[in-house]
Amino acid sequence: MSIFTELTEIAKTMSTATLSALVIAIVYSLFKSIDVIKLLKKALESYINGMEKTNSISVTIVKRVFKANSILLDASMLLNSSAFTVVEVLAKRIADSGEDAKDSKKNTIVGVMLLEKAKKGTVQQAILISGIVVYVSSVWFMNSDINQFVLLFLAFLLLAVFVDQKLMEFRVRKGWYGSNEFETRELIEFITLHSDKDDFNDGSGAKRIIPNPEIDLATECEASKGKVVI
Amino acid sequence: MNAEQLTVFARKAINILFVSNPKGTSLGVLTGIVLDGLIGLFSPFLKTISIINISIVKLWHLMGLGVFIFNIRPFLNRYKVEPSINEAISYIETQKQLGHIDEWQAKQMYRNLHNKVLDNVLLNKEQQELSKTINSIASASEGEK
Repeated sequence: MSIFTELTEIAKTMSTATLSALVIAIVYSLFKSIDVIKLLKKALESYINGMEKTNSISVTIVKRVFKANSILLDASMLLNSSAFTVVEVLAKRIADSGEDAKDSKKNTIVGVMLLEKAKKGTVQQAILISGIVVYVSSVWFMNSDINQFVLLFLAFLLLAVFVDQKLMEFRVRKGWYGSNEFETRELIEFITLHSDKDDFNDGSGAKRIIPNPEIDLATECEASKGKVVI
Repeated sequence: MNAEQLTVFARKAINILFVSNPKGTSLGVLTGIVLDGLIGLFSPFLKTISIINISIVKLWHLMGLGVFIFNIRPFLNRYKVEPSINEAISYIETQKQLGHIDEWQAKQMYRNLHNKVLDNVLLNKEQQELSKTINSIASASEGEK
């Protein structure tokens, strides 16, 4: 057996395993999130409404298809169940934080970001699934052989969307989200890109979000040294 | 590497895989597949053109081209972090490397940084509506207790 045939066999096994793992993960998520489905529906409605304001062609197509077909809508919800389940967790945290306005505000913004991620994730998954359908149809139509590496690559991309949301869910649940450079940049980029643009002008040009970063952070660092951390 | 570092590493890797533009990359891949189908469909005609050797072009080349086309504009117009935020992040990282602050203090400083950014910007209307929805879910879950 040539090396290429062996590699093709490996790719075949891996793409089957990746797609099966994805299906199992989705079914498991459904089983786990069945109790909170009513609360999640509210979040779903809000993000579908949010889609109305976007004029991108792909988003418009997804929105029309989903609005006309509740099964597809539920399927998208399941594929992005991590994002929705964790929004519910955040909502509970906001309710528990009571008068701690800063904590509540930050949890809210992470929740808003997750809903946006779910919205984008749906579009992305729809594109990738269309990719698989188009590829399999063209192979069938032209009577040629399926390239297992292409299927593996597409399955891997689909899985990556799912895994990213799962990892975010895990990190938010553990309270780890945002405590490093990568996630800080992700969160700040989201906040500034989705902020009111008029607010970024203080009359004399662009406003600095943090006027004196080093002085502010050095003061906080000194203050935090005096505190006991559990 | 503990679970916390491992999960961040995995998220960074996924981010690199999608070239920080997941939708563009996915659309690029789909475009490559569609182009491959079209080339396959018109191959009897394309083979008659002697100046190009169409059989050399494989699906991977077309997917690469698609990903490149859909990512070039977002890359050129990519978001540039406001300088004061860059200064704040590099300050935290330098202090951590120099050993002036512990890991937990760096985490606390990152959290304070988010709060400072949030205090200084106003969200646009669409995001404010989503915030209200999340807060209404929060009130609903509090009501259920």
